[in-house]
Amino acid sequence: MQLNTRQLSLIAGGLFPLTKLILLPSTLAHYTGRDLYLPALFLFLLEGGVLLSVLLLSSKTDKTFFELLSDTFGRVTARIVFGMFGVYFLFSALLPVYEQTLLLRSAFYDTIPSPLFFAVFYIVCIYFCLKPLRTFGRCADLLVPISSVALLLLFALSVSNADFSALFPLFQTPAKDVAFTTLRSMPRFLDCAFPLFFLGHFKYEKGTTWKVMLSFLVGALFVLLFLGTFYAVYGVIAPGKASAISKIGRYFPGVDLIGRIDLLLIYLMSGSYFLYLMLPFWLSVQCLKTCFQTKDEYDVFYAVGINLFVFILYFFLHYTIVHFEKFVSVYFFPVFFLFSYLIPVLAWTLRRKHA
Amino acid sequence: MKTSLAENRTAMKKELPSEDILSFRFHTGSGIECELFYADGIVDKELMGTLVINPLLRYRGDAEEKALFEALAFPELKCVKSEQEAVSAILEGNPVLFADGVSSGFVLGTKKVPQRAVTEPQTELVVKGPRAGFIEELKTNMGQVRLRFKTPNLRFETLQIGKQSKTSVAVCYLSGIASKKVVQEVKKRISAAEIDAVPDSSYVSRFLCPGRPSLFKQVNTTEKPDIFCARIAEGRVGILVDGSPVALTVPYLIVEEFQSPEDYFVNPYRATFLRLLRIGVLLLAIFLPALYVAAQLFKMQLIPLSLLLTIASSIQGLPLSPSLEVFVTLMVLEILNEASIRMPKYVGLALSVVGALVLGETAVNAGILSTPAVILIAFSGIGLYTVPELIETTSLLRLITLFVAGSVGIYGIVLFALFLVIYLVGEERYGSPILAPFAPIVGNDLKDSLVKFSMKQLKERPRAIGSANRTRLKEE
Repeated sequence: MQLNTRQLSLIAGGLFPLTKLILLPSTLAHYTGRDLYLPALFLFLLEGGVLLSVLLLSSKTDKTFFELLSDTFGRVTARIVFGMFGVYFLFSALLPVYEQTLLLRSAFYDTIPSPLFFAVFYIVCIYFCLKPLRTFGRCADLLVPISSVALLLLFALSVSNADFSALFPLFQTPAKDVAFTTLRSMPRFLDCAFPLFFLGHFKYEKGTTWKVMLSFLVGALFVLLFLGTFYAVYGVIAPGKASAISKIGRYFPGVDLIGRIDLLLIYLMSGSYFLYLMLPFWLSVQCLKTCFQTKDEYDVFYAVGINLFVFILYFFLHYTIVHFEKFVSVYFFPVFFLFSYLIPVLAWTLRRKHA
Repeated sequence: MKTSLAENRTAMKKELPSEDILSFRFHTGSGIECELFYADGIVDKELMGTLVINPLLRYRGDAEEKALFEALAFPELKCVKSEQEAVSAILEGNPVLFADGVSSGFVLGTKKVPQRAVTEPQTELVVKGPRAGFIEELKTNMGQVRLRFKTPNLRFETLQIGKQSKTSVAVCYLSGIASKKVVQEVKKRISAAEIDAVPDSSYVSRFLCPGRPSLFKQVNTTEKPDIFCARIAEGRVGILVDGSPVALTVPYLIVEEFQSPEDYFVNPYRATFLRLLRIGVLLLAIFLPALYVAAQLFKMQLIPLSLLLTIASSIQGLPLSPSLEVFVTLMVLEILNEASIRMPKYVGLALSVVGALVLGETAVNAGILSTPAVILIAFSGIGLYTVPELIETTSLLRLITLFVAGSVGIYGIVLFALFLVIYLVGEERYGSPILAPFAPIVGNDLKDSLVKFSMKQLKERPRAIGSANRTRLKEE
């Protein structure tokens, strides 16, 4: 087995929240103001439900998702579905990957870095794409504890500057705006589809479901607290702070004496963040490989092709990331909903027992 | 083997024409002609005279194998029937006696290799703990291990490798504790090695982990029998090579580098502090020069304002860019380091003066290097030696990180670190992940990793090694 319960829990609790701490807080603050946690809460509930469904499914079968599909609909259909997921993961990776630019501009560089600098990410990503799932689990073992400590410290630095009265009165945003923002923020809550592709690659043990769900809950609570604190620190100017995580701790009183210690914490956290950004690329490679039924030695072509495509696309988009984010969020949420929420739940209808 | 001594003599002379192969001819008390063949310089001639020649001079019996065997009454005596066995025994340093009328040779275990005393190895000095070290002689090294394990479970299996050198390699393990799979794999890999000569154990280590060469160690080494035995007791397999004081152990885990023998002789709190210090300083030593360069080039906010002003004043007017300045300083350190290892000891003092004063202070005064860079590199240079066994890897990593930092900044450093993590978590040695117990997390093994629990709490052997018997300490 390539993953174990502990690693799944670390992924759900320690990696799922990371992509939600960059552009999402300012976007939510822009549309829902001090109620920014409400859309996030709804999406977490939705995501949690899908995750629970996949975990329960894993308790009923030891088949992989591909086996489930092919046993129900035949191999050809299963390959087509995997091909669609291959493209979907690639597409879903675009926004978080491009979002990292905002973090980099804010936390890693004083000036806007050359787009060429990002080639390093894709080089490491190609290497990662050629590794087995076990590598991802072990990386989570090592990096999640480090990033969790870094995030907690960062959170502690920011609390001293937070004015939590800015969050009151509660529930002032009209329901329509909350619903719109919920749909709009969906591209940041697509993690629940990933465990579907871990099916058959981890051994379901007694307690796996509640351990992973508890871990997910802790991660979700952290994000909600982070959102609240972010708004409590910046108040009405929060929508202007695009890279929330690099802004939240910058007013720590000791900064003059010891430098931007919050940045050091972000660097510690970013190992996990970059790793997690690479997961959709890895999944895309695996899906396309399954779709075309190619041998392992050809993985390198998928990995290079996918990364090169995203990198080239970045050259055209790197000045318009905010517009790109709006475009993807507004027009593509049905696609996200289908692949990340509906299909994982519908997987219950597939033939779980061995013929 | 022939019955006629003359024929055996001719065969030996033909097989061993080298000048250092000598022979001594004499007659027994009953007039049987005998001849001893031996390799000069590696035989105890006194013992040979006392225990072999003297009894035979008094021998009055016939030329019979059994009677001669009993007359010799030598503890390490065996008969060989083939020429090839006799030749091998002579080349190993054991004289072979031929008697006219006897169709076998007597191998006499009077090998005496010139050897140095058992002293403390210079590379593994300790303040507290045993000081004995391995030497170049295999038998002595095996004896040192045997002295520490008075159990029939301690097994030595000697193999020979090297087409020309025929070097003896002893595979050492505790039966019932070491994984059988690992023992088999080690023996298989050593036996499969096709090499001319094995001057040192490092040659054997290449065969223990075939495949792509790695920047990281594949096999752990030690020159101290106490460390070697501690690893064997944990369930590892040890390899002793004749002619080398460096013993090898597998499977190798990176965490071993942060465990010093002294950690087990001091209290666990002190040991934990020292381990955290080692890993903290090591990481700083690798990444600090790179962070310094990246901060100057790409993210000045990282440096506190007052320190930034100090740095600004010291780098003012420097002809080199921050990355080049640090690179030059680092190269000077590497050169000094390399030269100080190789140069004769009596010029060592001169080197210190040249290194510290001329290259350090004068370069700063001349405005070629800045004081912060020199301080930083000095710290980094010292820091890497907190884990000296990893120095080959860490000094290279420091250079690569510096290059990445100068090109891409902190983003590059983080991604390079991530690349290392991805690489390392996938690396396994004999089925044990080298980053265990951190990746994958092995709860039990964490008790003797960065945090050192007391001996009473270390009830189980490290699980990551895959020992056949996990219990190390029984419940009281």
